[in-house]
Parts: sequence; C-alpha cells; structure tokens
Amino acid sequence: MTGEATDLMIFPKIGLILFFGFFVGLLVWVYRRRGRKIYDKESMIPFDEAPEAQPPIDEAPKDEP
Amino acid sequence: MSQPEQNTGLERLTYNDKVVRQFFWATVVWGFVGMLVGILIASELANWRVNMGIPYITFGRIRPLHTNGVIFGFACNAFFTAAYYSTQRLVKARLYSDVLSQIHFWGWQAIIVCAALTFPQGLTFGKEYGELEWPIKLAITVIWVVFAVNYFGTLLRRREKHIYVSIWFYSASIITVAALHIVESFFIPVSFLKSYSMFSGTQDALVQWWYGHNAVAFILTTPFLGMMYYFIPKAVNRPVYSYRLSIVHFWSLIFVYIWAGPHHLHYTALPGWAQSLGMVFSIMLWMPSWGGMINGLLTLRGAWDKVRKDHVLKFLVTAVTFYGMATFEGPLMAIKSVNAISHYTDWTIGHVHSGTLGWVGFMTFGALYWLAPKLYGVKLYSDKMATTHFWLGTVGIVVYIVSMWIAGITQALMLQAVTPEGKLLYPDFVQTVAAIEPYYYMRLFGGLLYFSGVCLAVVNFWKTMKSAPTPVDETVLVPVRFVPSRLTDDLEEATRQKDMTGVVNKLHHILESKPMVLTVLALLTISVGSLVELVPTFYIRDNVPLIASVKPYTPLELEGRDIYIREGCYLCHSQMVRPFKDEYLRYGPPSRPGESVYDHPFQWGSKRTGPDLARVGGKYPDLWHYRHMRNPRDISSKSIMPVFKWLLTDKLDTSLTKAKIEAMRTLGVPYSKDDVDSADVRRDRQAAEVAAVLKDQGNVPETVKDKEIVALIAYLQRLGTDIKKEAPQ
Repeated sequence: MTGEATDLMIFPKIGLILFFGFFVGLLVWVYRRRGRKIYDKESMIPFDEAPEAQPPIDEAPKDEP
Repeated sequence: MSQPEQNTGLERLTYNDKVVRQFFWATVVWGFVGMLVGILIASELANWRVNMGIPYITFGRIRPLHTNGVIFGFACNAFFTAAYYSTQRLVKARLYSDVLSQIHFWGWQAIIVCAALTFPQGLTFGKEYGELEWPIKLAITVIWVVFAVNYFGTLLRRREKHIYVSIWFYSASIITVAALHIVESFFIPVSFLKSYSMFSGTQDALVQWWYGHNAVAFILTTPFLGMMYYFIPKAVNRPVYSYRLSIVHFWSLIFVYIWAGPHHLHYTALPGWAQSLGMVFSIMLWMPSWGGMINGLLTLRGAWDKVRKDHVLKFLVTAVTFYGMATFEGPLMAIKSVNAISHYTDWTIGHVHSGTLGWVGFMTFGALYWLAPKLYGVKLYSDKMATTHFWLGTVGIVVYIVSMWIAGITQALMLQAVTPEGKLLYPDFVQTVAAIEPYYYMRLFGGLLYFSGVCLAVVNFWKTMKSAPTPVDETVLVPVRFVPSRLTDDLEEATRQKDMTGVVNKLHHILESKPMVLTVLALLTISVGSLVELVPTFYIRDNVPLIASVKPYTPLELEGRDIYIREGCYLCHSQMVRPFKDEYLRYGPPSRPGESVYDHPFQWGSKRTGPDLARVGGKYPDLWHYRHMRNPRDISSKSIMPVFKWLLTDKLDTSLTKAKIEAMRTLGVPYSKDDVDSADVRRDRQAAEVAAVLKDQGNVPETVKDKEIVALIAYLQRLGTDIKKEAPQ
C-alpha cells in the first residue's frame, strides 16, 4: 500500500465515527427527559382536524419509552 | 373557499375532496389494469404460448407496462389520494389551487395512458422503471412540478403551525423523486420517440440503480410511511406510539436509504468501493425500517382486538407486517454472499412483491377502505367483501413469494453446481428453467388470488359510490389563518432559552413548523449519499479504465441493439459475467467496466430468465440465431422464450441510422465524421454479408438482408468479441 493510499484510509474511519456519533446523538436527543411531553400535542394533530366530527380519542396505555 | 364565522375566531372551510375522489378512482382503475397485466406476464412466463406471437403483448414489451402501471398508476395515484386528503386536514387548509389540482390529475392520467400506448409498440428508453420515452419524461417533470407547487402552496396557507410527521414523509418524497427523475432522465433525443441515455456502461448502471432503488424508497416507501402515520392512528383512534421515534425514523431513513442502490450491482463491473457502500448502508437500513415498523404496530397497543373486526385495520396492520418482512429481507439480500445466490433469480422478484403486494398494496387498500365511506358519506357497501378481499390477498401474497423463493434458490443452486471434476452439473441453462417452471404456475395462482381480491374491491367501491347521494366536499370550522413567524425570529427566541437543553428542545420544533426549510434539509440529507457515490464514478478515470480493443458498434449493430432494447431482451438476459466459477465455466471471463463504455444505455440487466449474453458473440452460427428467433423450441425444446417471428418479416427502419450515430458521437462515442456520413452504406454492406452467411448456412432467401433479424444477429454476434481481441497481458 502506498503512503498516499494509507493516508486516504483514515477517511472511512472518520466517516464511520461521524455517522455513528450522529445517530447516537440523535437518539439521545430525541429520547431526552421530558421529550415525550413535548411531542404529545403534535401526535394529536390528526384528531384535531374537525373537532365537532371526531369521536373521543381512546386512552392509550402510557408505556411509550 | 373559507368564510369567517361572526365573533368566533373561526372560519368555515370546504376541503377539495373532488380531486381526492378522482385520484381514489384512478388508483382503483390503474391498480386493476396494472395487476391484470401482471397476471398476463406471469402467464407468459409459465407458458410461452400465451405470448401468442403477437409483438404488442410479448413479455419484453409489456413487462414495463406492468411495472410502470403499478408504480406510476397505482402507487403514485394512491400517494396523491392520501396526500391530498390527509394534508388538507392536517394543516386545516383547502388545496392551494383547484386548477392545479385538476391539471395534476388529468396530466398524470394522460402520462399513464401514453405509457400504455407506447410500451406495447416497443417505444422504450431501455432503463428499468424509467422506460418512458423523452416526451413523456418531460411531461412527468411538468406535472410533478404542478403537484409540488400545489402541495407546498397548501402548506404555506396552513392554519396549523406544526407540520405533522406524515407531511415530512410526503414532502421528502416529492423533492427526492424530482431529483431522481431528473438525473435518471438525462437523454439525447434522436427523434420524437427515440432517445439515448447520456450515461453509459458502469456510470449508467450506477445512475440507474441509484434511481431504481430510490424509486422503491421514495415512491413505494416514504409516501406509504406518511400514510401509515396518518391512517393507522385514525383507524385505531389513538395517537402514534412514539412521535419521538418518528423523528429518528424519518431522518435516518431518508439519509441511509439513498446510499443503498449499488447493492443491485454486486459482483458486477461496478467499482468495489461502491458495492461495499451499498451493502453497508443496506444493512444499516434495518434500523430505521424496523423502527418505523415498530412505531406503526405499537400504535395498536391495547387495541389489537379491533383488528379482528375491522377490515381497514386488517389491511393496515398486515401492510406494516409485510413492510417489516420486506425490509428485513432486503438488507439480507444486499449482503454480498447472499446476493451471490439471490441476484438475477426469482428470489428478487419474490422480495419485490412482498413489498409491493403486501406493503404498498395493503396500505393502499386499507386507506381506500377507510376513505370510501368518508368521501361518499355512506357506509361501505359490503364489509364481508372487504374481509374476503383481505384473506384472498394475504394467501395470494404468501403463495406468490414462497413460490419465488423456491424458484430463485433452486435455480441459483443448480446454476452454481459443479461436479468433483470441476465441470458444470447442469451445463444447459434451460435445465434450470425447466426445474422451476412449476413454481411459475404457483406464482400465477398466487397472483390470481390477489387479483381476485382486487376485483372484489373494485365492485365494493363501485357499489359504495352508487349507493351514495351526490358527494359533498367536507366543510369544517377552522381557526383563521395564522401568519408564520420568520425563521430568524424563531431562532432568536430559541437562543433566549435559559439553558442549552431548552435551546436544543426548540430547534427541531422550529424545523417542524417550517415546511420549506424542512424540505430543503431533506434534500440536503439525500444529496450526501447521492454525491458521494455518483461523483467519483464520473470524475475518477480509474473507476472505468478503457480497453483498447473495445470499439464502437457498427451502424447495423447499433440498429440491432435498438431492436434488442425495443423487445425488452434485457429484462430476461443479462450482459454481465460475475467472477464466479460457474459463470466462468458457463460464459467466460468476468465482465470489466471498460467493456460497456459505449453502451448508452447499459445492458447489464437485473434478471436471468434466460442465460447471460455478454459473451454470446461467435458462440453460435448466424443461422442458429435466425432459427432461435423464429421459434426458440427449434433450438431448445424446453425454452420458455417467446417467438419473435416478426423480426424475420419486418423491414428494418433505416431512417434514423445516421442520426443515431451522430447522437452517439455527441455523447462521446469515438465515431468520426466519416463514420456518420458513411453509416448507411456500411449498414447495408454488413446486412448483405449477414444475409449471405444465412443463405450459405440454411438457404435463407437473400431478401432477408433488409429485415430486422439481420441487424439483431449482427449485434448479438458482436457481443463479447472485442474483449477476445485484447492483447494478452
């Protein structure tokens, strides 16, 4: 392997670490404390489209992580 | 279409449900037609006689009609139906423009009609899932832009600040499909209905499968995930299991998916680094895919009993289950050692259909069964018929995919089998075809079961519509339109948070209320993988080294090649020898990137219903090919290839020969000006030579010299011969 080729081999490793770090970071951030509460309202948008026409929403078990 | 209610802060809004109903029926009609053509081609594969010697219905010509019919006719219309219905309600706004909605609807249906008219005539661009010729490609571009303006215009007029997750998936689909379609369509026109791909060989293959795989991603997956996030919560009447998981699902899926295309080109002449990227990202794709599947299924937590009684939920839940199965199988098949078995076989066909029939089909029918009563204001005509449809469909899919698994693995193992002496155990390709023929009948049976369910759905929807009074668009009370804040103001407010967590908390929230910013970020996300894979293949010469002995086709060979493309030969025959022992023994040395540099478009293929043809030149006499096209059973009694007898009688169209050579020259194929000027003379001279050989070998009348068969023979006899002239290294 030439010296130039060896130098280039560092990029896949850096790329892998970046990808891995990005996904782990995303997971940690999305599942941060109080995160569920933040998105409760957004998850109800499909049921808020025509309030008078909607049946009451079923109570779902609170087991979401 | 909105009127303020006095002193309530609300206004009355009427949704544009007319266009939703139109797309609803377009989905039903094209689904019926596309799947009917699927039944026809499955019959043709099971029994060659079904081709009936009619060019317009021969497998190679109508297979694109099936794939385009179900992708652009059925799936895209389902996407438009769902996106227009759900988005209006999720953002509490009528569609941006009634006129654009109608242009979108009629324009799209006209495109599919054009596809139905051109494919049977053999008018094709020659690239899988992108076969439509250039005027129709341009029409797709225009209509897609109309759709995008209408859709994003609706988002900009919304009354709901927050953009729900379904809309992220719809938006990413719209923008990514536009990018895929534009790059894949780079063409140079030769005439009004003939064009060549601007890319060739290895580069064309990479672009093709970047497009092809991501058409699966952004036409057959992300729009339907958007549907999943809307219709499952609505049908089960409870919010999605985890909105947070949907954020991870969205970003990771669109980022990873775009890299996976090269797994369609394992062990080919594509550079190894691109194959490795394709494999690694395909395996990574397991995570977001299953994250999404889990999110969909767990939305039913505590309500699984509803599935027993509700046909809509039956379809939706089974669709998500098939999504899980297909997205487990896909990465598995992308592992190179597994791909060595699965590629070019019916296993791939089985995999595709578990996704399309199970995921796309069932998600669509679930949504349609949910929508029909709402769009027409009456109960569904028959719940029983819907449930019967479900069971017919489910059993049909299982029969279909199991038959294809068995056929694929059987054929691959037979083709690879070698005796202790190092010889092929089944040297004749047709031996493997005969072994799997019963499974082609089994596949047909599975398809018929699925299709009979579709027929029930058509009747059910029709009766539902007929039982309804004149449909009325839904009118609701909604808040008055809000004025979106500026991005800079939002960011400023976010940075005023007391701690870093507060700032970060705000950021994605801001993004979720900025549809255009979110869409641009989605475009950037898919651009990363696209650029990393495509750019080096174009700009680093080492990826596609030229071979001195490989020369451009003669004018007659080029005409023959166009006939090969017209008849869809590439759909059953590859031109790519992989570096495996059995392929070396059967076909010769492995293919190299430099061998196909003048192939616009590339002809590597994706399925071997018949043997590879990369080295077929000179293997058989000209008369063999003549007899083979007239009736393949004269050569090989067990062959399932259709007859192509019209090639023996139809006159070769020579009006475009010069223009074709000129177009190739423009694309960089090393033809001289003299080659262009003398194209007609050289074509006729070579045709006379082939005709003389045919006369010599089988007393074929000399009048054959101006027939299409002569050009096709010239092309086939050229394949793989240049590489044999290469000086020993």
